[in-house]
Amino acid sequence: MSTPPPPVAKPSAKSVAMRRRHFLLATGALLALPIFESLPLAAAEPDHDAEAPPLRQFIVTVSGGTVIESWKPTKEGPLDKLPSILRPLERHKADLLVLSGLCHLGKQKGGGNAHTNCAGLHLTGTNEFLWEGKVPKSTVSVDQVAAAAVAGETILPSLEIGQPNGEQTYSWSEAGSTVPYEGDLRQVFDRLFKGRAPTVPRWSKDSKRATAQRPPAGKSDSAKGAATDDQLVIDLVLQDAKALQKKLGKADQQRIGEFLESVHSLETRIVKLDQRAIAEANDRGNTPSKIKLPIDGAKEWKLKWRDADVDQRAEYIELMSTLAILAMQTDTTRVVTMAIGDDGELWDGVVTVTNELHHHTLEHQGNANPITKADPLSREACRQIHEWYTVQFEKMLSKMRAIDEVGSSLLDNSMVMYTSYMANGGHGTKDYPILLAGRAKGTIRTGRHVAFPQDTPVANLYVEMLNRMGDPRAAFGNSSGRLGQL
Amino acid sequence: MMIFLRQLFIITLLVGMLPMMGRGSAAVAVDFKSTIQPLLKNYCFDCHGEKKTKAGVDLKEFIDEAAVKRDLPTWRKVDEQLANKEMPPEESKNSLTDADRAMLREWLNATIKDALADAVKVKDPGIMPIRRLTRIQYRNSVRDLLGIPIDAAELVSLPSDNERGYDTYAGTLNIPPLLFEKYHAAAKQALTALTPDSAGWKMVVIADPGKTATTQKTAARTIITRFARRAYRRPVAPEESARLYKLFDTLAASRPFEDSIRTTLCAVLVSPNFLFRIEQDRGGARSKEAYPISSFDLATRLSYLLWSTTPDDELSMLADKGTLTQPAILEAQVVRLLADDRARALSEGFFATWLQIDHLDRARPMQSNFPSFTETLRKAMYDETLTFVNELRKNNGSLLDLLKSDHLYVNEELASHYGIAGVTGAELRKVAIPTGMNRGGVLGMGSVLTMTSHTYRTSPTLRGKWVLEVLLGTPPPPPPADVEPISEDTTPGTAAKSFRDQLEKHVTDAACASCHRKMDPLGFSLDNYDAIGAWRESTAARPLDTNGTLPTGEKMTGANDLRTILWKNRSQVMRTLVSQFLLYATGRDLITADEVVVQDVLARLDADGHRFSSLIMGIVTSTPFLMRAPGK
Repeated sequence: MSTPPPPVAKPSAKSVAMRRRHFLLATGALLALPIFESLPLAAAEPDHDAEAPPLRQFIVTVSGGTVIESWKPTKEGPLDKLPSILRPLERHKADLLVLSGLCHLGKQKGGGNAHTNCAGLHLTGTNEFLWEGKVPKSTVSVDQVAAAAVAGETILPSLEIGQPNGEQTYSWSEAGSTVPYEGDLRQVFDRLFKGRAPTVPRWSKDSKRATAQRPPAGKSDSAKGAATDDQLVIDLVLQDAKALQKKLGKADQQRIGEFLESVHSLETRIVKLDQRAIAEANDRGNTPSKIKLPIDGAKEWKLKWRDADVDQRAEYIELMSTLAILAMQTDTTRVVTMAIGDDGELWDGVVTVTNELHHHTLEHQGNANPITKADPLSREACRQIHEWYTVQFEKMLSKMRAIDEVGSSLLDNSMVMYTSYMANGGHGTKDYPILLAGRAKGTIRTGRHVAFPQDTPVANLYVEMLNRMGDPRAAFGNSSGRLGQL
Repeated sequence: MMIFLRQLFIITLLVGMLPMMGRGSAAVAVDFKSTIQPLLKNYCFDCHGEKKTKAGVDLKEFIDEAAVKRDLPTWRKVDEQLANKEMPPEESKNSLTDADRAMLREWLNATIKDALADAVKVKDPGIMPIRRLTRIQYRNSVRDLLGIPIDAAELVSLPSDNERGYDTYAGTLNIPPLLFEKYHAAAKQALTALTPDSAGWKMVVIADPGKTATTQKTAARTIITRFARRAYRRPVAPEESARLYKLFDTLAASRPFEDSIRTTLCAVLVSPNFLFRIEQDRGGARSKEAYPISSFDLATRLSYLLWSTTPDDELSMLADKGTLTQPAILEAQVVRLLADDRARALSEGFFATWLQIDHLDRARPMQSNFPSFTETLRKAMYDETLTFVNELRKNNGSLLDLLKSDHLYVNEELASHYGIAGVTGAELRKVAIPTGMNRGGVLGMGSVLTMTSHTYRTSPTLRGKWVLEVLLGTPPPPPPADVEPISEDTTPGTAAKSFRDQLEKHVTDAACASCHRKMDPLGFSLDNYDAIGAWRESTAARPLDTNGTLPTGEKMTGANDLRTILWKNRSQVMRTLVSQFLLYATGRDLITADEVVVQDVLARLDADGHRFSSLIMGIVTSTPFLMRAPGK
């Protein structure tokens, strides 16, 4: 049985396409005037123009697969007592939808290592992950498509944060190359909030519109100087790049094309920051609430995953996810993918049943085909690690639930996917651990476990997610249709 | 396993382990379409073409002999597999007759020979696509251009490059959307450190701005032109300088001189002309013939190869004069660059990646089993290997020292780990290897031995694989997916069976045997080194067995026998090294014509005792380094 496609919020093509240049043209006349008095009072009657809280997509993916018998509920239907790996989520049970039986069926071609190959399938659900010589190629990943669908609405189209890189490349651009993850807390913070106070938009309860254009207007004085210098530099770079492109062959032109895209992405961000500053300055009916950053100080920024002990790792996840949630709360972005773990850690203090503490070694010893040949103690150790991961994930859900958005919570307005890039530590691609948390603005019925027939593509779920994010496509990767039953 | 296979170029034979190849196959007139292709279809396409492309090999795409000739690296691998009788595999349903096998090989050897003869005649440098600077090249270039000891890459945590091989490989030098933003932020931050009292100020601000707008304008032009010349690594075109001047003038109208200069220099540092290595195509040339690169491009290639940074003043001066391409001047510059401390970049950029010691960082020896393994020991191990190759460069030593040497570099902790007395302090120093001690060369290095081990035990498989891949250039393919792990009891003190008995399954199971009978014996011969590279005569838990039989039937026992076998095969090790260095230098896949380069460099090495400088000089004076194919 399949549910009808959910109500879709279409981002306005105009806002997506809006580039700084056009914006300046449109507002050039206003720039010369004193800022506040000259602008139309767009927010005089706030509720008419304000937007309803938008839908966010938040993917949290951990390394190492899972231990499926301790993840998957035994029964379908309403969630009963949760299996041990999910038990830390007991208090959020009503907001969870556990999906079992989902698989990646994509081929892995041209060599490569099992971890890299699984990572290439993970968020792409691609038909074929292949190596062209030394270069891995996949198709676009679900987070990047979602980002493109809502890109015009926020300052950043998306945020990719956490450890991976190296073997675990989860995010892939439309052109099929890897999108790097930012693992440095300081860099993430700067990307989000450098030079501006984080503010929460004034959402409207009644508006049926999930998204809307902010009132176009002039610029704030503070943003003006810096943005202008940056724009002058960018303009020069664009001229250099275009002059260059004329001289180059086709393949080389493509590289410069990628470079130009990269330049435009900074340009767009500068525009969005301006627009945000203006909208907030104009919004005299109801000043946006300035929120306090929950993290500060030099120590935390230096924390790096690999060298950390277990407590520091928990702290790192907490800080990183705080930034992720803040990014969504302040509508700086609506698409966040956060990756945790790289299989290379030692789990001293979490693993108590074996001397072995190395996750990768435990993954291999704890998985075998048939499973009876696996080492039960290593498998229990893997279970302990994944239970620990869920404890960290629980904190994120609690935070999101506590954030009020005109009567609903951030969690209510989100679609949080919790998963791993492998089904299990033996590089399995069948029966992935996947759950959705949050009700996605009422488009997901939670509190249940739905068991799909084996070999149902994970990509079918991605189609559902993308539709909810406003991308109307009916197929993605190697999907065989919409997943249904959400 | 987590260690990646690096696709290697020359896949020749493990000399001595395998039958001799190609006995005089002058002009064999075998038709590809009617004779060869049907054989390939019958015996190979199942796994290498029709449905699968195992090990990344697709033989179906070779539609004629010319296509075969264009990709010798692949066909050398095919020849090796045929010679070795490894392909088609034993378990395949139909087996290749000896006559057909001989015919295939005879044709293949004749074709390879033809292709090489062609390659000597036609100088093909291969394509040299534009590529952005690597993270390291970017970091060093910004530092040297500004004359400020600053790590601009770290400031913004620029993403790391190819983690699966050489960072210079152009195909993996992507430009993700956020990259420009990072370059921009890095340039801005780095330039804030350029203040009148900074070390770099005098170097960059080469004209006195004076007090008036006019004098400042004049000075700015001098400063900007010089900086852009250095950053773009070539003369700046008039329209390019005009854009920069205009930017400065716009800024200077409302801002102080210093700020305006900094922002203009920022534009230089985020220009594609700095961030990308773009070589000049010869204007108007319609011919397909390769041509020598300009002195500017040569200075850039040379500087980034040997120093991983932008050309210094001397190289730039020679480029301006156009004399760098003169052989005597080029040679003198190579000597100069190699003698400079900055050439340490070769150890970090090339050798660390070739020897895969960057993987040492991922080794996780269990504290319960190896309490003596500390982070300082790990660092000493890494430094030992880097120092070893760096000293080879400084002393212009023999590259064969990599296989066998009479000295090593240790500090107190590493010396005591190896059982060498009398070394004190944390500094590494050169120490003669005591007689009878099993060290010397890369095989005895803690770095190599530790990173090829599991957390709690040695891995003969990983060590064997490392020898095959890194030293011999014949990497085995990755294990099949969903392979059943070998069950073993990891509780200390309870192992009943010998280690070899446990791993025996590798060679009895047909799916595993074809590779493991090559890897495991090589690795077992190193089993006197424990999982962190300490020497042991026995283990408490299980018997130590360092015997091995190679696929050829040749028997060996212990590390010294392996050293002897590798010594016998030293020409193949050198061939691997030369091919790898060529790969690093070009940043592209190797092509048929490169085989000629490799042979030339090998001859050069043979003639002068395998001096370090001959490797460098050989590559630097080769066709792919000095020439360029017309832009495609």
